[in-house]
Amino acid sequence: MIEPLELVIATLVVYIGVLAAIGEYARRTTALTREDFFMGSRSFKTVALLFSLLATQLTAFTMIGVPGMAYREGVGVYGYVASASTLIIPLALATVGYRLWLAGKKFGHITPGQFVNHRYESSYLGMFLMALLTFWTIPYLLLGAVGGGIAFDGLTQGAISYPVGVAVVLLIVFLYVMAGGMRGTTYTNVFQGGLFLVLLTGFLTYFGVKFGGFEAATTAAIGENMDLAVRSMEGQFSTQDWFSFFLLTGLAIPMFPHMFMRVLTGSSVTVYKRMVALFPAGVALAFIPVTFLGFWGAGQITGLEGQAADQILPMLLGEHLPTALLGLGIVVLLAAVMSTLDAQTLTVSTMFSEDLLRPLGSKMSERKEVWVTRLLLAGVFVLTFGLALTQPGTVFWLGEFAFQGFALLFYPTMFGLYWKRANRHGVWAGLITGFVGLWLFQLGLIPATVTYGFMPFVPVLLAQIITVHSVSLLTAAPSRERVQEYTDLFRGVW
Amino acid sequence: MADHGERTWDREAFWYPTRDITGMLLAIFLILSALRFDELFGLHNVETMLFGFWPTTFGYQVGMSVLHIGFAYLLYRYWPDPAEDLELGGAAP
Repeated sequence: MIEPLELVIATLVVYIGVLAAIGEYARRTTALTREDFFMGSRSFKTVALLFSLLATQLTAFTMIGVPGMAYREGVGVYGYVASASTLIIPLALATVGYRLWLAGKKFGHITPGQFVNHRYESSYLGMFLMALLTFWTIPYLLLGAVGGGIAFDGLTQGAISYPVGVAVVLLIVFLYVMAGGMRGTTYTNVFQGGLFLVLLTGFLTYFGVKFGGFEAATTAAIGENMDLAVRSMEGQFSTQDWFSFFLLTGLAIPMFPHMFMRVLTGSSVTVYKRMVALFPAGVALAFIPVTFLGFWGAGQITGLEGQAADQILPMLLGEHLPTALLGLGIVVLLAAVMSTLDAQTLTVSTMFSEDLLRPLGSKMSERKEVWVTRLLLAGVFVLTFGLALTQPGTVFWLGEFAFQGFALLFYPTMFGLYWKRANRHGVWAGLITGFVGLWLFQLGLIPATVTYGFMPFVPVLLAQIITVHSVSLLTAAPSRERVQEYTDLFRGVW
Repeated sequence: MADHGERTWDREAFWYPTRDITGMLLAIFLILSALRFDELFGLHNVETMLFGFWPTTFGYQVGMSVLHIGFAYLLYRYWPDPAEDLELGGAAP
């Protein structure tokens, strides 16, 4: 007779075993060259590209932050997050993303830093952008690590403590990223993205039945607080915030370095445009169960306030799943967390290698560069573990703060895709304006009241747009040859 | 100083309120963006449950997402192919 706890362990072992097998397959098929280890030779087909982007998009924020917000603020979180993403991200991918893909295909860019150095004819701008991207990725990396720790701690009711949970998540991801590079993360993401959608749909159905039917589950939730079923126009769901988050999604997500690099890995125009068409369907589906589970959770587990509400999904799974199925509960949380962590850690170490070591004149062979990147990966994991132990902020707040930092990288970096007069001076000025401006708000040196209820990045963005154009116009024009290369490449595309 | 020939936007890239396909995409995008604000119709505070269990504002936003999938299909359907035949350009700069 198999004991329930043994079944939980067996489930986890099978899950980790599948990841290890995929990682090993990726290792065998990956050559130790820059193009192959970092980019999978830009050879991915529709399913691989779609699921790698989708799984990267589904994070600890999706699994921990969104149910936590549905528990605290109600079902308005779906419109706030999901239906913003389903509209603005396909548009961003079809315009800016497509141009970046074309440029990457033609000029061989791997990182955002290489793109800005090339387009804006600079040697050091890429390093500066890399530093900013890394700075804003750290909170986002922490989001995954913290989410993994919360998942283990909450689901096992403390039997697997938070620090041990964080360590397990990081160790597993480290092993398959180190082995297979971009192929390792992409192939595992196909598995994890599919698992995520299937299991979440299963849990939604299971809990709906277990709570006495869907109507009874909803009745219990609104019995606690009717406001959860309507969109409160206060605070987070006010019109200004609703607009801000929509804009934030469109500006920040294309600037995530892990999304940037993944976008470049599609093999052809046909593959790329299919991915754009299918992406919103995956996002729309994934957010329905997490919103419902957070909302229904309010009727089952009461009294969670503030940061504690982020525990609602792990607690719901831990308290209401049969012990034998607990392993699947842990697996779904890990799938969301790890499928983003892997892309982020690979990207950060790739940027260090490509944007810092190569331009500084390192004469490494490609094989050696891959090994150096693997060492950098180890460093990134150790740093993430150390920072995750401090358990900073609520998961949602952490993500939103990093989102604003990314959003303020968008305009200075991308305006040269559409404006021929854009130059490196304008980009430098714009990046600095965005970074300083956001921190002035964060530190309270500019009062929040001047935003009129919008998120702080909105007025900073306006200042940034004026700055990049003014500085570009007041300084030397870019070379005609470079502008012409991009003009020819982008002819006729959006 | 500035070269006037390069002080321009890539005007072909943008969508304008015209009667062709890009004008239609622009119109659809603007309408969908406006429809996200469910308070325009007072739906944000409707307490009625769809199918007995699905809060109205939640159902409305899911419906919006379905329309967004349709918009993404239109992007796919009218996708502009690149002018150049692309081959990987080799080592990054």
